[in-house]
Amino acid sequence: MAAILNLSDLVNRMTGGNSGTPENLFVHKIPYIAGTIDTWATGFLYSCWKYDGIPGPGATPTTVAVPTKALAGALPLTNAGGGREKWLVQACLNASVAADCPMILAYDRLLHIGGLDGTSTSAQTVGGTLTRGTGYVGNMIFVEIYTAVGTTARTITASYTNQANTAGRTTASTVFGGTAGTVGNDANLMIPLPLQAGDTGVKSVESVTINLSTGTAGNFGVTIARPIFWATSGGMNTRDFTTGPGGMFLIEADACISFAQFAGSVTEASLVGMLCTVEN
Amino acid sequence: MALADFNALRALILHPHSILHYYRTVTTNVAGEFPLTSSWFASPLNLAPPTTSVALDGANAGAPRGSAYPTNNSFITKVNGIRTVPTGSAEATNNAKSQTGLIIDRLNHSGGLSGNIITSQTTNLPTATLTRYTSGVGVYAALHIITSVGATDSVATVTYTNSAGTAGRTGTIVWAANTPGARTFYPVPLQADDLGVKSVESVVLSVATGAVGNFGVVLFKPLAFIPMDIQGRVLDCTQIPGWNSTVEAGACLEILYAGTGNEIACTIELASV
Repeated sequence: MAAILNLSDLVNRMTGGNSGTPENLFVHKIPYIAGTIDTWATGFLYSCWKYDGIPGPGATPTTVAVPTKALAGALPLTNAGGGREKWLVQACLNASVAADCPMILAYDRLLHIGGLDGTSTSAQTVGGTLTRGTGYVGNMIFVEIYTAVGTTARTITASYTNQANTAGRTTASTVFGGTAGTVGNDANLMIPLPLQAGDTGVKSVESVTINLSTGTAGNFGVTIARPIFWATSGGMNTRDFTTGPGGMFLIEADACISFAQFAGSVTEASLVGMLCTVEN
Repeated sequence: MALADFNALRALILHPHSILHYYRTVTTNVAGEFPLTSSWFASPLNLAPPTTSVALDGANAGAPRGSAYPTNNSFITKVNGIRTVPTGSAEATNNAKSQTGLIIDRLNHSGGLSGNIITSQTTNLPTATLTRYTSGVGVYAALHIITSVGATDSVATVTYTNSAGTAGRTGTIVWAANTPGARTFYPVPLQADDLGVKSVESVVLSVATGAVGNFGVVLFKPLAFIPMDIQGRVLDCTQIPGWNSTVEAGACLEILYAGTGNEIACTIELASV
């Protein structure tokens, strides 16, 4: 696909010329799940997947699936038409109080699974096949805790295939489980799993393994995510992707855009923003 | 009305067609309060609350005032001095607050719904026919609290017709913990894969909140997102996500905000091709 030629081409497309089909996507997430406020612990990343607001809440995943924009929880958007591509050109995301949520992640939720067991020490199958993010570079693995697991801290690793199609890679051992509200155990926590040294992405996750039982099955899952951008809350934080870090981001067809919030305190914050796209 | 090139945009920024001023003082918002805050009925205008759903336009008493209102579709080219005055005295504390503004086109609004009725409420509904963004794409519904409802947690289910004309779609809002107070504004989530709202037909609460209060339905079009702080800034379109939203002729602009503060003052410049 041809690049956007220059600033004039961008302005023309953003205002509807040349089939630019601009779409500005409104976001408003509040940290409630089915009427109950989530509980944050300072210093951790919390998934907005199940949070109320706009987009509406998603459900806890079960079997492995590739979520799309049609799934509850995904940001409503229109696929690019006429053989064009859809690009993120400008965005702003802010928390209701910056100190409570100083950083926000917007990402394409490429694959997810739930229903994994915090007491099982067997390799728990993840599987599935990506239909987006198939360049694999930049894809990340997260463990998401849907219902708290046990209070005995253990460690978890994922066995995955990397961006170069090399299987049998293993993430760094990461704390999993433990006292409620700690780094390894809180409902709606998103725990990033560091890739094996030298890897830059993920093609698939074959399984995850806990070294020992945490004591409680709970419900956790694995999410493969493709980060779109990180936003810092507060002040003048508009992101211009045409000239700023990261460049314009390709929003793939059927992208399932969701968000995560970094807790700067134990006081939960809402999330408001807008993502601006254009087609080329 | 696409702009041909950068020079065309530059011309609009340098020569706006409309310069509109928006000012309200509002009751201090609660830090971290999760719904957005609407300043529509606040001082100094103290507008009367609506009853029957009525379509709004730029002639409405609540719309910003200034130079001639745009008669053609426009873009937002500049926002000058948008600010809030947060509570608290320490500037460091104030700067920690996000103070996020959202410019919307308030398309229609209604009132007269009760916080104590748990059957389907259709008072002053369906919402008035859209006179702008008539496809409904990108249009959202919200419940706006005119007089506080009660403190008992409740779930509001809003039934609407989506932009494809499909009726019976639903979105839910949870009223929990904080008593929904006057000025709070609750955008309604769309059902999965919907792109907008054409009309709202009814609202039903799961539980009586404990007070009748008064709330209604607003249909609105989010236009642009304004990051702001206490100093007030001049923002051109490169800093305004959504500047390229088409502001349709006759728009009734309002500024919603998230965060703490007790004053909104800004100038919005619009220009049309």
